[in-house]
Parts: sequence; structure tokens; C-alpha cells
Amino acid sequence: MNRYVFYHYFIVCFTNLVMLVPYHLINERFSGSVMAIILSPFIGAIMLYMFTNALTKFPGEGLPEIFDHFYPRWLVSMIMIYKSFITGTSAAIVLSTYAVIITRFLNPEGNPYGIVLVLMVVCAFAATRSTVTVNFVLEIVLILSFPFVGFVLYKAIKSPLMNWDAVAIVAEHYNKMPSLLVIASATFVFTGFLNLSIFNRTFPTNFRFKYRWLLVLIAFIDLLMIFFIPIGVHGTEAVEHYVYIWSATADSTKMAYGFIERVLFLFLIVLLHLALAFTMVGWHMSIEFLRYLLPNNIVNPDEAKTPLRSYVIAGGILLITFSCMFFINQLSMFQLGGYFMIIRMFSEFVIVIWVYLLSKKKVRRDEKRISI
Amino acid sequence: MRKELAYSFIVLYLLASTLLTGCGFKDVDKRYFVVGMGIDKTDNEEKPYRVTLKLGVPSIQIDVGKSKTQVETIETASIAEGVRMLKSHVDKEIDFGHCKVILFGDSFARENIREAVEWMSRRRDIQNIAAIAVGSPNAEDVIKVQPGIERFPGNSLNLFFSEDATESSYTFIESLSDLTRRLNEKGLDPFLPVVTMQQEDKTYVINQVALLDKEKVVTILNPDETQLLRQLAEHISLPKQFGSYRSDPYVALINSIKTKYKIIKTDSAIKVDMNIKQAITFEEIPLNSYFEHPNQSVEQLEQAYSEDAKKLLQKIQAAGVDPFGFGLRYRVKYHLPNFDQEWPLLYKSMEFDVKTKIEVRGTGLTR
Repeated sequence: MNRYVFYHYFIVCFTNLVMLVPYHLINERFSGSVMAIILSPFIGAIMLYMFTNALTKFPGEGLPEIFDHFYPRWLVSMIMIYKSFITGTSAAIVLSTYAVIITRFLNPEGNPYGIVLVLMVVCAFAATRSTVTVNFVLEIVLILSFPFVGFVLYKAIKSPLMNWDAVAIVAEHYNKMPSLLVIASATFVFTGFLNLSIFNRTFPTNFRFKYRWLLVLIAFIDLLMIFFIPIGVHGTEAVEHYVYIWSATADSTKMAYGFIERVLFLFLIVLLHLALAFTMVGWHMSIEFLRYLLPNNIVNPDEAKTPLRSYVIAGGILLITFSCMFFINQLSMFQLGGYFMIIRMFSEFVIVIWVYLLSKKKVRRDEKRISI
Repeated sequence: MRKELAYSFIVLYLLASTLLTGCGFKDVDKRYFVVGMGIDKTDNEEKPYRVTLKLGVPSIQIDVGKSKTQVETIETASIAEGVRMLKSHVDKEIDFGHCKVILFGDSFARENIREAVEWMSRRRDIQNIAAIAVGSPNAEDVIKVQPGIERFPGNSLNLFFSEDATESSYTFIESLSDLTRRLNEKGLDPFLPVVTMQQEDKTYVINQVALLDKEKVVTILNPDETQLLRQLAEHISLPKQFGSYRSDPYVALINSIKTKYKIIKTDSAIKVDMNIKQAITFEEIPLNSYFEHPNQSVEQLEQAYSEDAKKLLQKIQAAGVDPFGFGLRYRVKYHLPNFDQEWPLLYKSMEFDVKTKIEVRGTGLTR
């Protein structure tokens, strides 16, 4: 079962290859990005260990059930609304960024709203499936895309354009103080474990987390590559000219003997998989959080039939996300995305520490019960 | 009831997808694929650009000499406008998706190419891996050449810049993303291969390289220097074909070459310490001379190569350009807050120390 922890961790990690993280990091590459990259695995590791240690005290329970043990229903409802807002927004950002990229490269004359709507309906349908099914879908998508992600990274590193002098120049700026935004962006890569706040339901009672250090290590290497490969390929100055830096980096390498010469198109298809899977997982969590608010909710990670309420909530999320797209353009997406990153980071600190304290409380309570 | 609902939803969803088909895609036979583009300078001040597009005509017959192209030219105030205007000159949609070679005219490249390069990297359908070159005497004439033995429209110029056909040690390949990088990077200057043509038999010759500063061509190296530069700059060279080196009476084929350089700063000057390691095979050598005096021939080659390399580096230095990236390497070690002001002076005073180490693989089939 430990592999599902890995999948949830990596889907967040690899989806960020294209989204907001490289944009903010590269913007501040001479002022603090490197320091943020060095600091973030420690922050990420501490959070990971706190959260997973806490979850072992609540076997088979998601965040709604955990809070429900300790607090009145109205307070838990508020927390759940907030959590579903956060996960829903990050999924929406990924999906809409991808829709912009796909309209730009594949079909520039197409209607972006039509494309994004079709993608959203697919994701919303997948998100209404049961928690176990979502796990399986995620596994299939990731196993299919891992080799291609690896291939694109390998092509970029081995490309003759790669200039290690440029990498060294940027790495020299490790002693600058990072801004809050960069730290928030860098730590985002390490937050995949938060998906467990719903998916912990699928794990059996005697489940134990293994190889947690490996998660952090791989995510750290991934973050280094996300940041330094584009700098090596595009140089220290021209790297900030591109809006979607990883699309430009994939486009700079070529497959002489592939069916298509542009690596870009391979990259876009891999990206499609990852973005759809990420959105599916995000919306599934939002649905599960919101289902807590409804009366007579039965928690069952492996339900045979999807209840109507899941469809209704998914439809609601879809409508809200879709109507938000009309108010957002390319620039405001990055600005709002930046604020969102910071809010997300602090809310995650709070949730992780909170759950950790609750787990301590539960242990004390259980001990008391036994001694009586 | 539930099942019917599900089915009707699926049908509705599929129906909705038919709405999407009409938006963007045009069939292949309704498209002109741009297979070569040239940008020239005109004398007209209001319309300074002359844009030439070579349009491949989709055809059923694929055979030697059957390729058909149409060449369209327009004078315009900006490149984007010119391309848009050209759409009104042809009956099919113009598509840049297969445009793999873009040429700048010689006089255009000697003025300023920045704007044109920025336009290209902003356009989504011009590939970042497209090859950029200088067309001499001007881009329009080179684009207009229709080689008699071509199979696909515009393919023969493409093949020069791809790695799977001819592999010449005289041809540099510069991609659009590398050009963008070099135009902006502090301490790394761009280069462009120069395409000339042979009018008699309508073919191309690419054996020179133009060195640019941050906006224009500064100097053009002759074929021998071009080959030497490709050997020295092996880390940026693709394909890995390095050609040969001649020092009478020897001609050595270079099998592999590795260039390493360090920048050493003493209180008086800065010095580039360059170490070249190469493995060679003799192509021309007097009979028995290597087998009798192995050291003598190698020493002569090593010395001559070091001298030639040093001369070339000094020539490039005198032109004030830096295709090697010495400035970038300097920035790694030493901090330069005002790079743009300080570096040219430092570069002018730079000294070169070149050492060559040659390892002989063999002398061919004869002794």
C-alpha cells in the first residue's frame, strides 16, 4: 500500500513542472530562489513526518472524521469548506493553465472555454468515483507517464545546449534571503502528502509508512531539475523571457529519430495526463470534504454506487471554477496564483500542526481510558 | 431510470464534442506549409523589411526533382504585419509548423536582428529547434533557389541543418532557442552559419560562420577558421564530426577532441589556460615516418595546432565577440557588478595559453 503514498506525493511534485512553481522561482533566481530551494526540503520533511505520524494514530480515517472526534459539527464544517476551497483552487489553477497551453500550441483558433469545459467534465466525472477507484486511476496514469517525464528531463539534461556555467552562476546566489512567495512556491512541491487527508481512508488498520525519506529526496531532486535545467538551457537572462518555461525547454530539444521531431508534443501529452489526474484527485478531495456538511453522510472509500450528492457537489465545483475563468487572464493568473501559494502554505502549516496536536491528545485520551 | 439518465448524459456529451470540431483545424490540402523564410533589409525607410516565404505545395508525386514551391515576397513595416499581409496573397492557410530554416539577409544581419528574433520566439508555431542562418548575398536569392534534385519541397536546405543527412565539419547549427539565449546572456555571444549558393547548379554551400555581438554580425570566418572553431568549441558542436587538420606534410583526421579551459587571474592580467586533448588518425603522412620517428610528427602537429588555435582565439578577441563564453566562465568565479562596462576592457587584455595533447590512434592501412 505504500506505493499509493508515493503516487500522491509525485502527482503534486511532477505536475508542478509546468505550473506556477518554476515561474515564481525563476523570476527571483538572483534573489533568494536558491536559498528557498535549499530550505524547502527541510520544511517539507518536518511537515511530512508530523502529518504521517499523526495519521498512524487515526488508522483508516480522513480529516473530517479526525476533526469530528474532537470538535462540534459547525466548526468542522467551516474547516472542511476552507479545505475544499484550497484543494479546489489548486486543481483549477493547474487545469486552466493547461487549457491555456493546449490552446496556444495545439489549436490556437479554438475556443479556450470549450476546451476547458470538456477537460473539466472529464475530471469532474472521474472525481465522483469512489476513493479506491481514484487511487487506481492515479496509479495507471502515473505509471504510464513516468517514463516520458524521465525522457523529457533526460533529453533536456543531455542536450548540447545545457550550459553548466550558467547553472553555476545562479547557484552562487545561495546566500540571498528568499521572499515569502518563493518559499511558498518551493514548498508546494513537497506537499503531496496532504492528499492523504482523504486517501488515508483506504489504508488498512495496521498500515505503516515506509521510505518517507525517499519521498523528500526524490522531490528535492525534482525541484532542482525544475529550476536549474531551464537556466542551463536558456541561460541566466533569456530564461525569464518565456511564460511557460518548461514548454519552451521541451521545445528546445529534438528527437532526430522520433515520429515527431518536436519533443514539445510528447511533453504536452504527458502534461495532459498529469494535469487531468491532478485535477481529478483535487476535486475528489473537495467533494469528500464537502460531503461532510450534508446530513446522513456515510463514509465508504469503496462505495459501489456513487450517491447523487457527489454528482451535485461536482457539478457545483465545475460551475464555480468555470465562471471564475471568465475573470482571469494570463497575467492575473500568475499574480493571484502567487497570493494563493502563500495562503496555501500557511493554511497547510496550521492543518498539519493541528492534526499533530490532535493525535497527541488522542494518545493521552486512550491512555486514560486504559488506566481507568 | 438511472441507467437511462447515464446513457442520455453520455450521448449529450458526445454530441457536445461535435460542436468543437469546427473551430480550428483546416485540412492539409487547404494549407501552405512554409518550408523556408528569409528576412532582408530594404532601402525604403517606411518599410524596412522584405519578408520572403517559400511555400511548399502539397503534391501526390514524390520523386527526385518533382518538388514544387511557390515563393512570395513582400516589403513591410514589421514582420508580423508582413506575414499577415502575405496571407491575402495566397489561396491557402499559411502554416509555420514545418518551417525549420530561417535566413537573415547579409545586410540585414549586419544591422540588427534582435527584433526579428524576438518575433520568432514569441510565435508559438515557429519551433525553438528551427535552424537560423545568414543568407549571402541576401536571403531572398538563397530562398528562391530551387535545387533540381529535391524530393520534398524545401527539403535540401533542411537536410544541411539536420543531423541525419550530411555531416560536415564546416557547418555550424544554431537553433532559435540557442540564438535567443546568446543574444541575451551576459558573456556569451551568438554565431550564425552563412549559407551561400552556387548559381550554376543551384545548390547551397555552408562552410563559413558569422560571429555576432549582441545585435549584429561583426565578422565572418573563412572555411578553415570555421572548421577550427568547430573543433575547439566541441561542447556546442552537433553532429560530432570534427574534420581534419593539416600541417605539411601531415593531414590528421580528428576522431575525438576535448577542450578544457580555465580562467586564471593574476594581478597584472587575466589568462585563459586552454588544454586540448585529441585523438587522431593520419590521413596523409610520408611512408614509414611515423613508425620510425613517432615523436617528431606528433610534436610538430601539437605545436602547429596550438599556434593556429591561439591565432584564431586572438582574431575572435580582436573582433570583440565571445562565442566561447569566456565571460560566462569568468562570471562564475569573479563577481562583476557592471558586466557590460567592465567586461569588454577585460576581454581586450586577455591572454591565451593553448596546449595541445595528441594521441595517435593509427596511420590507416599503410605504414
